[in-house]
Amino acid sequence: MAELSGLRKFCYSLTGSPHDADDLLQVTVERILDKGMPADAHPAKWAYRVCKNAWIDELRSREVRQRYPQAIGDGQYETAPSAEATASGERQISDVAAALDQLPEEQRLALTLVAVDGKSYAEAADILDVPVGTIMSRIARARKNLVQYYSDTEKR
Amino acid sequence: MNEQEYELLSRYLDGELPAAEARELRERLLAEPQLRAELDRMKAVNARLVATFGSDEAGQVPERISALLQAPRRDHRRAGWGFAVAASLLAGTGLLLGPQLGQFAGNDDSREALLAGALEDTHSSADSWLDLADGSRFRAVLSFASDNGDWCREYLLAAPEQTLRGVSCRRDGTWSTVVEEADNGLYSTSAYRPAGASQADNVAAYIELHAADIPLSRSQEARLIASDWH
Repeated sequence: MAELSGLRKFCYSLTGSPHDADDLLQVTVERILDKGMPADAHPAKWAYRVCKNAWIDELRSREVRQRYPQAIGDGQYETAPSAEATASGERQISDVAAALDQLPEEQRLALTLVAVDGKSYAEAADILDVPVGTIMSRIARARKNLVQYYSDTEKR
Repeated sequence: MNEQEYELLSRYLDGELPAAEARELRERLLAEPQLRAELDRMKAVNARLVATFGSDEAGQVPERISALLQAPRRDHRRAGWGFAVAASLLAGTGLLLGPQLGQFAGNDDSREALLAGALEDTHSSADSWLDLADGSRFRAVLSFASDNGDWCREYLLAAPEQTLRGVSCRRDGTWSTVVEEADNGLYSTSAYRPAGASQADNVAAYIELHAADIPLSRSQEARLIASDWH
């Protein structure tokens, strides 16, 4: 389940909602099975690329991006955590998702692939179809933005 | 801090800094509290991300989605190509099906010899054909390890009257076709076929049943060809 599980984490970090993550994962898998892939493509990297494109399509179709507030009330976990754990978990998701939501999408994609999913810069560059140098700068800017966001939040 | 320093710290955090540069940075971190504090803040952000989206729970895949990869989609998927992705995504899950004996589709000796020669040396390709001595054309589609340890290859064999799709496996230095059937999706030398064009369901089913792992990468396949599949 390693790749599919990693892809689900990627979906989760992009959408910030377990329900939306499952939907995005399903769209990704269906697109891959329906459309196939070039014979010389790396299957796992191709899957991430399809997922990224599906997410961008989804974003474009949303005039107003209100993913995270909805996620707090609609989370659908496979297991049922305790009420306390759920409240704590939801707060954490809410906080981190709100922080990620401040980032430009290209920074968020690059940071998620590397920091959450453990991809190397070269792998992330391959998936996002950009030079490695672009990945480096996008991730650095993403982190700088997030540090600034949390610093501002703490001051309030 | 300037952009370059953020990039330096970020690369260090991700283990993407060459050893010498990492060493220099560690020395700077000891001498520059402000730099160290910034690295700590970046680490804290990273930890929040991983704790939230990198947990085992975040990687839980609903059964309905796993089932998509296990269910045959014979009317909607391209033999071989869909397998490559599905097998990759399912790798390590135990979801690939267990061993089952394949069928042997006999062919005349001369064609079998030509096919064996092509299978031995030809790299998999999405769009190129190898002209064989009998006038037919050959294309290796992908290579994979079978569940009994043999190396196997999916191929296309195009003759004027029909195109065949099959799988041949190598044992004791000999390639033997284990499944082969007419492929009704006509192959051009360059066209990218639409999904669902292939009707070679038995080939796809065979691969799903017998592939032990994901298909070989281009470099893995090249190494095997160079070493005569040893």
